[in-house]
Amino acid sequence: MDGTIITIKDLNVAYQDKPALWHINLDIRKNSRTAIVGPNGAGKSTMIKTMMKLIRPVSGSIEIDGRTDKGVLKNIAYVPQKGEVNWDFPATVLDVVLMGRYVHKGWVKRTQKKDRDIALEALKTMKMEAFCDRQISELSGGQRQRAFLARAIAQDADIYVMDEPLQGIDITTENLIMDVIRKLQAEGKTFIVVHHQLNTVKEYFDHVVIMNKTIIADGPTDAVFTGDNIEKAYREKGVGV
Amino acid sequence: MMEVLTSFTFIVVAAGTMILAFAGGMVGAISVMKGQSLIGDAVGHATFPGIVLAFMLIGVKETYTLALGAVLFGIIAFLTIQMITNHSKVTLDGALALVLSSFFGLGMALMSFVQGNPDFEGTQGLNDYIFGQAAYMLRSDVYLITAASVISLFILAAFYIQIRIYIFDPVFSRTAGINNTLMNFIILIITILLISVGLKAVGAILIVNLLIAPAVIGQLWSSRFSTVLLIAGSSGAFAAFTGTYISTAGENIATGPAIILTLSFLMALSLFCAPKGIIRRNIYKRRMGGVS
Amino acid sequence: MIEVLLVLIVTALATSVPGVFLVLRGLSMTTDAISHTILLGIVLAFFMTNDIRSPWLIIAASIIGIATVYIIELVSRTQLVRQDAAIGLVFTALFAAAIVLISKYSGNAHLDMDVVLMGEVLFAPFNRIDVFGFSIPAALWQLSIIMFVNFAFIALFYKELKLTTFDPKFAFIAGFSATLIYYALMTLVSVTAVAAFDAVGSILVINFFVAPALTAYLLVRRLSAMIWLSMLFAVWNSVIGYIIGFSYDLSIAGVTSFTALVTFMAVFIFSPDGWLNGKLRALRQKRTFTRAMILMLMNEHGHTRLTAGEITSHFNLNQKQFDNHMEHLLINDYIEKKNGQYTLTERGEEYTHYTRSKYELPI
Repeated sequence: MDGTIITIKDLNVAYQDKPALWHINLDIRKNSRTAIVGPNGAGKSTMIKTMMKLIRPVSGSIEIDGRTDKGVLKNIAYVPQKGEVNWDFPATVLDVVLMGRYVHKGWVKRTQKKDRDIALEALKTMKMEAFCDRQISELSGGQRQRAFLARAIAQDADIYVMDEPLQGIDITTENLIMDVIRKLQAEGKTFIVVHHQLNTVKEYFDHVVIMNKTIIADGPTDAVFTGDNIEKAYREKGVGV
Repeated sequence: MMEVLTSFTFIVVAAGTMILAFAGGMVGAISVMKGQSLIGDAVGHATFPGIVLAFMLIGVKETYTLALGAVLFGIIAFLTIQMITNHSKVTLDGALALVLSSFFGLGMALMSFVQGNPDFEGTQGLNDYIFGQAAYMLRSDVYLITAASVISLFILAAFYIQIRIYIFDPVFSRTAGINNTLMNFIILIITILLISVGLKAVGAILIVNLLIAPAVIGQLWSSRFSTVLLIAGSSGAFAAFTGTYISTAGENIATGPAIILTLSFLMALSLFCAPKGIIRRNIYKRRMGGVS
Repeated sequence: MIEVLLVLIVTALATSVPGVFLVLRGLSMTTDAISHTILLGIVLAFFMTNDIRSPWLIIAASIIGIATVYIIELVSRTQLVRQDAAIGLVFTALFAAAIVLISKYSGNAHLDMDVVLMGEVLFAPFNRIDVFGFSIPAALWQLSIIMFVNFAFIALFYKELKLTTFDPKFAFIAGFSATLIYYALMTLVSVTAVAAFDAVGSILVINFFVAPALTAYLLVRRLSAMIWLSMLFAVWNSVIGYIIGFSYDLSIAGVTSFTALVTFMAVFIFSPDGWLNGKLRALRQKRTFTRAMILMLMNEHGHTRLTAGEITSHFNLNQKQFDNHMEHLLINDYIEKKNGQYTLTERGEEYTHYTRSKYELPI
């Protein structure tokens, strides 16, 4: 482990007049596989969306790779929840994966043969090459998740931020996704993953953040993922004001 | 002022529009809460070919006949929209726009046929149903509006409990033995009925405002279902009275648009000043110290 | 009169291409709102210039169009009013304001409401201008320019439009402003709608925007195909609308719009993934399934010999359905009938094994 890649300082986020995140202070280790766990409504998605500057915080700062400007986002591959895009959009799987390459193109610039090759390679990694001409509405839940991850790989970023990638998918896909994540970690990438199943945290992740509106505990999984901390996060109904 | 208030035209028009707006506000509130605000817009436009066709077939320009044609085409339009959204990936937004404009196009085609054909006489009046001509409302028009409104409100009262449950929790309502399809259909039928009789007063384009604006005003002032309905009905009636007065007292101001503008003004006022409005919310936010 | 057809086709092409993105972004009714409110812009500019041909009319109308989009967004962003309700509120208020202004102040001016709202493509050739020495209808010239601007915009920003439409959050991360693209698109839509007024009027212009795109949407797998197919349907609707309208002396724009619905419904019902095929498939599946269930019942202990009455009551069949199923099973030699009772044949028993694996039932 070599240092910190994301530093969050005193972050507060509110929806209208309801606080969603409260006094978040957090360091995420470079090259880690970090899980974010917590009960429903704990603000897990809110936190990673704030990292991606999709939500504007009330106060606090987020430093990624030593930068706070918008350009740093291009180095982050964001995998949204499956429900967040319109799957009836007329596009093939390859079209969607190619979008990962748009990050490296300026306005008006088109993708080239090289980008196509990278996209096809990413599809191969996710064992989706047979589906490359399939319309996205015809994909199953697991295949959609794999297509999204292929897009992230095609983007060729150093940091991966994923919102419940293992939610509602079959066990084969789950194993495939975890294999790919481990392989990419070995290549130096960092993973921040919102995760739902507590029973697999120890097996899948080396770091964990336990939260419920505020950070309950964070650090190496073995040290932090204890019954005490989990109970604290799941018992309390979040911090009041 | 008294002169205006006691004039015969004013009384007829004000009575008609107030009753219409009261019932429309209440019934519209249900559609708005269901997130189907714009179905009224589509239905309003889609009644146009029904009116022209009724005129062509029966040959009289009498409100009762024309309203019948309007109701029929309103229902056909709604069923078409429902069929498209249920059996394809086309969204409600797209289906509404398609059906609204195509039906209106059919109406225009029929209208051009009628106008160019010497067999039909006295077609000039039919256009009134697009823009509304409240000033030409007759006593019989008011009777029709009253009848339709009373029937609508009666149906609303009869199914009040079921409709309330259906709106707030469609899943529970099904387990509670309420027929959701029937409820939706009932709501729709009374909406179409009110639109059809109200066309002459405010026109096919603007009538949707009469269904939406009072409902939104009601929702801004209260969270209770019954209170929302009451506020919606009363604000509709109030705007109808004020709008009719402005148009009767002023010169060359059409009644329909005057009512709509009054309602829009009430609506904007509520958006800022109501208990759930922008001003109160900003004060609350500041007190929390969480101003972004 | 070929000029009339040309104006119609150019209008249809200029509108249907941006229409693809309006449909995919769920902006059809927002566009309908714009096409009504730009009337306010036309009226205001007309009062200032007193010239129905002034370019200021287009500019003012476009500004009002964009303002409509912005106000709708502002109102729905308060989260106090739903977006569809906001659309209905905003466009009716601005439209009512326009009507009041017209009726109050334009008593003798030449601002014919009917023409603005209904349009009349037949009048288009009467207003002509000279372009490079040729006399062509002004509307044709104006709409052709707008058509090329729209085509150019979509060709140039194809990638950005695609990305911001499919996944605006990812677009933001990738460094493309979804807001910028959105307002650029809606500006073009407003300008196009104003220009299309002359030909098709403000209510039907929405049909020209969305109907071809919606029809294409039912058939395609890729965005580029949707655009090309929309253009094809746009031309098809216009030609049919023109022929019928012209032959029977009907409103051409009106007939074109209704033709668009007929085309859409034809595709909706008869396309390979359409309504009819869906219904037939469901019917076939249900029939196959019921027959398989009858055979499986006979394969169970204590049910190997069944009478007609037992089968009809077990599966809730009427006499006609029963006859139909039994005839099929007998002809295919899955069952045999002895002394008024039905039993499985060997072939029938084999079939039940196949059925169990097909429906993933325990064997």
